[in-house]
Amino acid sequence: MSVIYDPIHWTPHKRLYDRLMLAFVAGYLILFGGLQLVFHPQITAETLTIRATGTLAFLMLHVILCIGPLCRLDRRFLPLLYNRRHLGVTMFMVALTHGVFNLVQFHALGNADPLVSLFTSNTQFGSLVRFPFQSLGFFALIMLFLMAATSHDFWLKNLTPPVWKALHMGVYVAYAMLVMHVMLGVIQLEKSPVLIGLTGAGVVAVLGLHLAAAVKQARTDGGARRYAAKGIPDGFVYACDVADIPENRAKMLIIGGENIALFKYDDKLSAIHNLCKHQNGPLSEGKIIDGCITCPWHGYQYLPENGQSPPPFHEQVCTYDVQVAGTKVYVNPTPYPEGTARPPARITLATL
Amino acid sequence: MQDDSEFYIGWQAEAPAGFARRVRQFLFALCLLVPAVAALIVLFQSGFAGSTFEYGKKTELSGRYSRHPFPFLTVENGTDASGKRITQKILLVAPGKFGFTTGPEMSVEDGSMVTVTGFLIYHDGKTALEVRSINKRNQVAAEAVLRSSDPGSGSVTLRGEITDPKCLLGVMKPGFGKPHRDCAARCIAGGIPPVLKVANAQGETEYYLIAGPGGEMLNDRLLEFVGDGVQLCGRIGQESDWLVLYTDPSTIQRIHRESLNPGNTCN
Repeated sequence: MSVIYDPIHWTPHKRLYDRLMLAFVAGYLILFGGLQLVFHPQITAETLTIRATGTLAFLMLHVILCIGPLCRLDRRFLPLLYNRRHLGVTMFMVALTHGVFNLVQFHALGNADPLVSLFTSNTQFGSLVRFPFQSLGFFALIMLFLMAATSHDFWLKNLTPPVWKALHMGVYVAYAMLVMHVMLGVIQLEKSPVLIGLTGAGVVAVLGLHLAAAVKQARTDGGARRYAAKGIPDGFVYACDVADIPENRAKMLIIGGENIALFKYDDKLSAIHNLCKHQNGPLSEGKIIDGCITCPWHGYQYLPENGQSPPPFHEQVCTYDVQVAGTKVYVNPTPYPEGTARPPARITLATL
Repeated sequence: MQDDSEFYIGWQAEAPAGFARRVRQFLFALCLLVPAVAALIVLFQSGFAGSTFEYGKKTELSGRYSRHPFPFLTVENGTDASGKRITQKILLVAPGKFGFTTGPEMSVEDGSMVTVTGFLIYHDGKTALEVRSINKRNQVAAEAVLRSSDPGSGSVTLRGEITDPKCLLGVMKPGFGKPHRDCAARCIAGGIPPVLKVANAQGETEYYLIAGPGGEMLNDRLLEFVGDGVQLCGRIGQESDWLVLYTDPSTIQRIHRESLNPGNTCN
């Protein structure tokens, strides 16, 4: 969390993350290159570079796509998510190397501009087997570029989170194109069942983890749904018992379409919108630290009484009214404008 | 079980023990998985030909330059046991993805004796040369280097893949197949003669340069078939160590790659 736009707001964690990531990249390239030279000494430097960078970028994309659902399934994976954008930008650079080498190798030094050649050397778009797979890689690379270029809070702020998020969800479109790029390209030449199996295993891993995370999220959402009961005045809806919420933690509620995080702290209860302004992180999975609700994804913070980030930060989320009757907690799902101060509900000794 | 008392914030210096332990487990799994994936990819790819492109190593050759059916340099290569001169035909190609069919070097007369320098490309007994310079010599061609055989009268059917000989002989590895398709199309569009790569059941490969029935270039007609499995009918001629398939392009049929096998005589 930073009030100014540093190119990179370095933290010890980010430094360690980047060192490990670069070691991973270098290690893979050395290992892959070494194995190729041992088992296939006839390989050319160009082919070695193309295959090493292509497989590495594809592998990194799988890791990137698996981190999200892994964190939904087990929040102890969150340190992998924290600096994932560096992993994404590095993956793009590796993919760009692959793309440039391919463009030069297969399309340069000919009787057409390389980019013209890319789209005119093979125009059999109507055939699956003969499909011009390189164009799929090109468009996927463009999408990865857009994501890498906007992978900074400056763009998140200026594009607005919904637009930024929608743009970055394009990674799934890029992934689908790259799977087809591989299947309609090199797999048409290298027909080993092992290589086909590896590609398939990657797809199954990505889809399986996303499916498992979606099922878990649906269960969580289902458990969080509350419905208005008769006899409750002023639009308040029963949320839970006071004892259901651990101290300095929250309970997620979905009431009438509103996604709410209900926090308990210092014998008080406050409710704010559940989605962090930064990247829609689930604030209900956060914790109150130093008096601030802290998002589990990137550490953005909000004051529970008014949904405002503490100065000098400017992020704000909606707030809601909370009431306590006995040990029962009620929430009014009508949101107040972002950053509106609402008095917390007091948990008295009589309540407990 | 997750320890709910632990909470991770990225901007803090240390991750809670449970989070750090889970990340270490993940990294350990990656350290096992990634080398295994790299090894499987390398071990189960189909390998590369022992073809050679002597890029950067100039070779000077003297011989007779001919343009038809393809640009060849015919050189004498010693004598056989009976004292008969052995000749070799070297396919001439230009730098990049261009055939030796355009440019100032074409001012050299067909049939003249020349000295050529360039980079050799060779594989499976076939040789090409990426020409960097060509100079005419004042010398009469020996009879042996003028010889070429007429195509036979019998028609054959060949099944294989159309690619370009420059890449196939060593400039690229692999110089055939789907990933190389676009490059082969660009090379053939640039004037490099198309070649039919035919493999038999024993895994032996033969290469047939493709020309029209009268020896004319078919490059533009074949572009749409490059990289695919095709069946061609025609007559076979020999240009020293090169085989040439003289074919009517209207007979080309696209076939499944699985159907690629040795040819039969046309009916």
